[in-house]
Amino acid sequence: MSPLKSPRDLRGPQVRIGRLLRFHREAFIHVLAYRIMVPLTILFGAVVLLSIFLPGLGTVLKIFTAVIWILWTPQLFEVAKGLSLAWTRGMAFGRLNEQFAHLYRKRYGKRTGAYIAFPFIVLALWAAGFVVLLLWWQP
Amino acid sequence: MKASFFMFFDYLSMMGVPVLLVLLALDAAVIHSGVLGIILRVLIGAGCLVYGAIGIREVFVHGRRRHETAGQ
Repeated sequence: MSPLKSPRDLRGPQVRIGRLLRFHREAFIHVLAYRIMVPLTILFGAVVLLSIFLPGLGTVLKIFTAVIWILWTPQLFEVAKGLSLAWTRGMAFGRLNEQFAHLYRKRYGKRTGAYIAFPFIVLALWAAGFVVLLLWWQP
Repeated sequence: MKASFFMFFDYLSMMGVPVLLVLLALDAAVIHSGVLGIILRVLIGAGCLVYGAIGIREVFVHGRRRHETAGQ
């Protein structure tokens, strides 16, 4: 009996994110920000915890928080978008064909306007928080 | 990646840390509570460490495998 062939993913390893740019720019921005953010987040976590005991780190913490805040924006937007997609069974931000979408609307009668607005509302709150933090936070 | 123990903490920190950061901004602008600020900073710090550690595993360890299918 011949040994089973190991399955191979023809899309290649996930580290090659540049290929996303050709067909999905939003996903590319999201993944790129995530790649940059991952090591920075560990450093940021350490700085946040250290700053509780070392008040002299205040300015570093504020600048670092601003950087992490900006890098976290695409993640948050995609998460909010994903939640809208799941809550509406793919009717908001999904790519259902017209017949299928029509049947879904008939079956569930769901309006998608609020769900489409949801990620943008989250983004607005996030941006407002950023401004507030920059203006009033004195760590 | 299957739904797992790691994924739960990944999503928890992915959504939890931004909420805590906004609360920190609110505290700085409106509430001005020193104790709340410190509690939020402890939670944010812990959340970021967890998020970063899982991210390293997800991106730089898991994502580097060549012979992996999407279902695995």
